Amino acid sequence: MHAVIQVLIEVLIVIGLSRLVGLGFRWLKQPLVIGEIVAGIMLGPSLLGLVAPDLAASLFPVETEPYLFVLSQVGLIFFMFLIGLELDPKYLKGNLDIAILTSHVSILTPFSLGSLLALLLYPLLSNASVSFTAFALFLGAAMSITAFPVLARIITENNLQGTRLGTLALTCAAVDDVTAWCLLALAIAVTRTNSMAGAVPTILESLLYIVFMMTVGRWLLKQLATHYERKGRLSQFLLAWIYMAVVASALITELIGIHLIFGAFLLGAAMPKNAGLVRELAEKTEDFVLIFLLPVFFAYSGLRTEIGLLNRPELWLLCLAVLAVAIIGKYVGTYLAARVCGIDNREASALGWLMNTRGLTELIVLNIGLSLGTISPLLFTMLVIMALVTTFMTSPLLEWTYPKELIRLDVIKAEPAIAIPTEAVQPTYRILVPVANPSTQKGLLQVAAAIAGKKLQPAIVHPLSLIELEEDYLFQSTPLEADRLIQQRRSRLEEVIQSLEPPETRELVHPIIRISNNVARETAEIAKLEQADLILLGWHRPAFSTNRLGGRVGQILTQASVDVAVFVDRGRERLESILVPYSANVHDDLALEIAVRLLVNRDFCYLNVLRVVQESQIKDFSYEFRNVMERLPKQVRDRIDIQVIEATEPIPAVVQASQTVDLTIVGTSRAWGIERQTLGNYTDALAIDCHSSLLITRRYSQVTSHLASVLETNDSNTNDQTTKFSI
Amino acid sequence: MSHFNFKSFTFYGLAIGFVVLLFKVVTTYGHNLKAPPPIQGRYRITAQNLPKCLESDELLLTVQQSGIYLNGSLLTADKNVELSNVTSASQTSVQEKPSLFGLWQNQQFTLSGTTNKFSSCERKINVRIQAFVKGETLNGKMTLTSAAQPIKFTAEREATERDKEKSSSH
Repeated sequence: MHAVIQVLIEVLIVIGLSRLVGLGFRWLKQPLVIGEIVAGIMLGPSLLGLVAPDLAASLFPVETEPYLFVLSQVGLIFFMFLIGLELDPKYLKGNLDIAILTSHVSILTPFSLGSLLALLLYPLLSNASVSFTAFALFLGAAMSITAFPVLARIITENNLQGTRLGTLALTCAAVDDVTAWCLLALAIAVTRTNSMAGAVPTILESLLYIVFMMTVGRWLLKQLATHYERKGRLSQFLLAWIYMAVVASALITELIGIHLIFGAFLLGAAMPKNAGLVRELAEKTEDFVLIFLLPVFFAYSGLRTEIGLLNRPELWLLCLAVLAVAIIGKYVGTYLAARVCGIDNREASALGWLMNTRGLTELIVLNIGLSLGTISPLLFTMLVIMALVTTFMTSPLLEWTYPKELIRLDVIKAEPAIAIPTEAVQPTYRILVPVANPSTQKGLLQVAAAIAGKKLQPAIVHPLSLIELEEDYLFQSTPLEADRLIQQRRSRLEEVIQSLEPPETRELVHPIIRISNNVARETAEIAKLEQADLILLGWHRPAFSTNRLGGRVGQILTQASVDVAVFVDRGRERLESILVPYSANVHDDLALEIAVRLLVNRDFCYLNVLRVVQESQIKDFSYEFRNVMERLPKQVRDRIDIQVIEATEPIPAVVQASQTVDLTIVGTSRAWGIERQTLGNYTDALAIDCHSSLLITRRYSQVTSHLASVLETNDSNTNDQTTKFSI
Repeated sequence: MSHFNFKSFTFYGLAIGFVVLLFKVVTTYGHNLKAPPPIQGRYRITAQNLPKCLESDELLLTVQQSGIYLNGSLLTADKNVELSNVTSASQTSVQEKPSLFGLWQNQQFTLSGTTNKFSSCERKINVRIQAFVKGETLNGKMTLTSAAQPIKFTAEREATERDKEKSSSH
């Protein structure tokens, strides 16, 4: 087969599997990139080569490796350029002095332990063609890595970018990144010349080039940025110049004797951080690099990773030693330095775990080491395992050490809308309203504000806007860019909030805006964290489902451990007449409670409770129902009309009744043709035919009472009230 | 509170000084450590008394080295075909998945395992190789289950891509 066809088939498999495994890892709350690295390993001798050697040999023949190598190197050059581009000096704002000290100690400790470990590993895993100095330097550098890009994404995903811990970790990682790259450049220079003294000219030339890039290079790039500002867009001509500069810079550092990647990184770092230019440049570059080229790099690394080489117990022990030195070195170094700087125990510990993230940066370093022959295939495999384990453990250990609810207490920039003045009465009734598109969900917020109201207990409505970032390495998932997106979304939400009527309801509404990679799960978690009484969400047509309660709405209904109401907006702004079809189940009880809240909060609202019975059925309401009605204040009860009608089919009766009302509230019960089943078809007959806007309620907790305050405050005077509900 | 003060600079200086000193001590000690010589590569085996099924082929031993830990594969190739030199021993490929494992000890190495890559012989053959390394030459003996006695052999290492790169860069 022609090499091009073979390589294209390989790329097809690589991209497909990377996405698939990446998605699996996202499901495990792990960065996508870890999944992509694992996919690369799966395609190599560790799995595919083990279970189907003939298939592996025909899919990835030796002859195509040079092509994969070239593709992976091109990908790497542009990926490093993107990393440099993202390295904004603004990240160095949070406690810079503490960060510099912490990050350097967090490098020095694993570096020291790594060089000590070299004494054990060199005679066992290296050979005489590699000098001990180069080996020890490289091992020390490999142990000291913190992956700024992966860490930045973990911080964004956990919404930590505004917290003290998040900004400190970002600053530390940014300092760490630059220091570790310098250390690696030194290790490469020493490896290539095989001695410290021989590396001196390379080091001097590298320093000269860095100075050149930060002065002349920066000035030239500033001219490009000025040109961009004048034009207002990134033309292909300008992009061509920038890409040529990336490649030229990569070639220069390769000629100097360090590595291609440094030149690309340096150019990215030297680029002026003009927000528009950086965003446009990143967006234009990243798609092809991240989707096409980077998985090829992972596959190429995977082909060189052979876990089967660890075929003796002592080798697994050595692997454990490598892992222990890497984890302990980074953790202890960071922890001690942070403690010396006066950071408390828990936060220092969390910082220690965050700095242990090695991710893709480590993989880049290891590939260089293997290509140069500084590390052997066996040590390469051990270090790849170390990189995977340290990255994999970050999120769970962070959550264990420092749970999200505690970290959020440390927010530097308090989210203005959530901040409730301490002297204000704390709300006892909370409604969470997931808002996907603020401009189309004014009706939803209006209903939420009406349910919350001001006449019952102190209430609050949290419009929850979750910004979903599906990709790990996209520029928009960097903390600074995520912050910009959050501010943008906040101002759009504020516009909607300021248009709510009546004006006094606006003060009830306090938005929560977060980054999320799983909207349903995050919504359920926030509902729990904020102790919401009700989640009120808008209905929208699901992409892959025909039923009204499918798609994301269905996911929230399944995952949320609070009462949920789904609002199907028919665009009626008036909210004066309400219909509650009642069939005496828990979901209908919730519908009734919500309707009564609306009645209490809005003096001009009327409620029609409709009971549809068949000829043979009992026409009376239950004792509990009558009891609730009796305990309502008179001025509320007077606006409730209870109707019992006989009909063979309840749904058409309700559909007909909905013609004359503004809002129908129904429970998710079979009686109303709105049902969620574990298996089989969903039904949503009423939702399709209902004439008015519709609110579908699903009760989760039998304990939550949405009327508690109404009933309690009126307990004393219920006895003398007469009831009109004599059904 | 600013940490750019005398106390933190002292701490910083001491920390870096300690690490530099430690690294110096470690490398000084480390240079006395002996790592095994590099023996990885592809060796063309010349031997008499090979089993009949292998006589028309050339035996190739590929050794992949990680310090004292060795992996290898024994392949056959048509004597008349020039083999591609694309793959160096450091570049693990799926195709040449090692089936022999061993150790480098006391100037000699042993590799043993099972190979089923001799299409002209019986399906699986147990292989045990013991060899001394002298420069680029291996001298040793090889036991194949199908053979009654150990077969003495010599083998020359082929220059790998990296060797070529190194020689051209110097």
